[in-house]
Amino acid sequence: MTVAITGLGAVCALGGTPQQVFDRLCAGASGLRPDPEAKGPTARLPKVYCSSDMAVYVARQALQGYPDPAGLALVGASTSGDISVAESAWRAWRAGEEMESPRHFLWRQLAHVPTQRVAWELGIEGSRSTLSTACTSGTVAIANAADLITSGAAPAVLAFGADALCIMTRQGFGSLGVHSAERTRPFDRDRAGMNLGEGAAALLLEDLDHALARGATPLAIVTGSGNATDAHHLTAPHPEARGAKEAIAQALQGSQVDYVNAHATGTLKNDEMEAMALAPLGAAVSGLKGAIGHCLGAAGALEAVVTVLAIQNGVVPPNTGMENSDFDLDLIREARTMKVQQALSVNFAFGGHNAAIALGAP
Amino acid sequence: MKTVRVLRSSYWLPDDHSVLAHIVSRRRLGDGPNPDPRKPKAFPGGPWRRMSRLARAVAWCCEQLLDDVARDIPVVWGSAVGELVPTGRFLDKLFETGSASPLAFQNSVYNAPVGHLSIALKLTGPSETIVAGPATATAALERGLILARKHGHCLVVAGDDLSEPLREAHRMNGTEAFLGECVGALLLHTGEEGPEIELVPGIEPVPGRPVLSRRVRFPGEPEFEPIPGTFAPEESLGLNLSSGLAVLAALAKADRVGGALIERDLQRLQTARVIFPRPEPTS
Repeated sequence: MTVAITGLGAVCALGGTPQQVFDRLCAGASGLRPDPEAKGPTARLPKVYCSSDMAVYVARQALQGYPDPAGLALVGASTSGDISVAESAWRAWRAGEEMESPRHFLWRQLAHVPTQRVAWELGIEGSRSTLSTACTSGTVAIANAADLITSGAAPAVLAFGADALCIMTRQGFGSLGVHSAERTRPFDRDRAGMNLGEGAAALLLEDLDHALARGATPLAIVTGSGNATDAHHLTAPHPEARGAKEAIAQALQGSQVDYVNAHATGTLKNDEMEAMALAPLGAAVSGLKGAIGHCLGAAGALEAVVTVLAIQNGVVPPNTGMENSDFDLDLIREARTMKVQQALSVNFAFGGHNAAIALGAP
Repeated sequence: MKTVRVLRSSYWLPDDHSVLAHIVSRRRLGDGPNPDPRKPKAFPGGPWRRMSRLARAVAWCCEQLLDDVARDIPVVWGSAVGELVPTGRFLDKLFETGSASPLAFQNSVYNAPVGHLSIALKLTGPSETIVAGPATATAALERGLILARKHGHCLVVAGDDLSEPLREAHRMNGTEAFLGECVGALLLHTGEEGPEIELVPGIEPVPGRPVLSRRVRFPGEPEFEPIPGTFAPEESLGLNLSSGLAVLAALAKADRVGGALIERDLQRLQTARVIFPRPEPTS
């Protein structure tokens, strides 16, 4: 069975539609701005939205024109749900203050909240679950959605990732000492760490026959996925990229790849490990986090949407922020026009989790 | 479609009593102070010290199932509330002192328990963390069945612990229920040994066997009618969003009981069925 991607949605600091985000990425724009609440710049939306708001917004984009939302299954991804709303309620509770809404106190920090909100607002009645494997969540959600289709559990699945910036992640990554005080420079020899971002993205996946029968146009095909664990350290990557290499091998199954959308956080250890895993592929490589920050549970979904558009447009976006690199990779400095028959999007996470998704031209 | 069976199962309850005793004899779990999980003898001490209480309960359940199992086994971890205790610890320290704890932060992510588990037991296979509100156990099982059919085996573990903020959140939302904590684990495989396990839409009890379904509503849930003829797991285990996997682990473990667990997510109902083979006729 072939799984096609037939709908896209995206919002992040660079724009409010997939094409807008893609065009600005290709133009070399960056959404990173100084953030007084973090130890470096962040890529924020112009207004404050919670993860659920963004999830509903991108889900509507991806489902535009889809005739039967009720029959869909739903796989969401989020690291911390609407914790940006729950944090202030927590502080009020601990300080003994009266809360505006006790319901915010705990329940909205649950990772499943954006998924439930999308289901309610769009009338999705099929199975629903949320992946919360930290920074690989979005990629694993897409892989699970594809599995639901190939296993015969559902003919069409909406997968999304959504994470808003919050105190917890701003201060938490700061405590680990991985924030860059300046704009992040993934794969640069002088890189100094990561910057956070926020956003959401959604992809509608369908059995190809189901899509063609309703007259939909496939934008890309899911050709494989991989998932492996380092079993090494909770926050540091494996020094020989063991799990990353395994996840990539599972996704590609020996096939060639033209373009890799890299995790590319801009931290010393991630980029070194990732370069080790990607070098043997000989593909063009770029990451988005120098432009849109690290959007955590949304990262994999946003990166997959951009990868689909790279396949569609025959253009791959640059590795924004990088000036000089010593890595033995074909790193893209400016948007490059090239035919992308097969692409790979990879993410790595706390817990030693590694995930990859392979996408092909329809 | 390949049949999936439960090769082994385990569960953790705070007072070490048998889940089966609670759910079949309907004995109520005590609600006094709950002890921590005990460290399994073979489990390395370093990781144990850095783990949360919930992560330790997960490790306690899983370690005993994985003795002779290939280290690339897929692992599915289900938790509805996740690592609330480290999350609270992180926020409390931040709001009180202005400084953040890196240990609490890395332990606050939902997938931290399986991250620790993989490091301690050298598990290198696929790892997924599933969150699905009151249907967390069946959602984790659904994913575990797909992975077991794909890889030949899969470890599914799900649970949630109790904490002061969770008790307070239930109190604020008026959930007048006895709250509980537990973790359950199933080692699934596509071999011939063990009871069959399946997930089917709707209400499909195993004839003549126990059937369990929740009666108490969680905060924000729409009203629902209790399913007649079922026993509510929260009456003995306490209300817990992901207790379903401990229930299934007990049904799969003990004395060829088997049975069914019905879980609901909004108006959608699914039945997880544990079915032991019929005994061979003696003559």
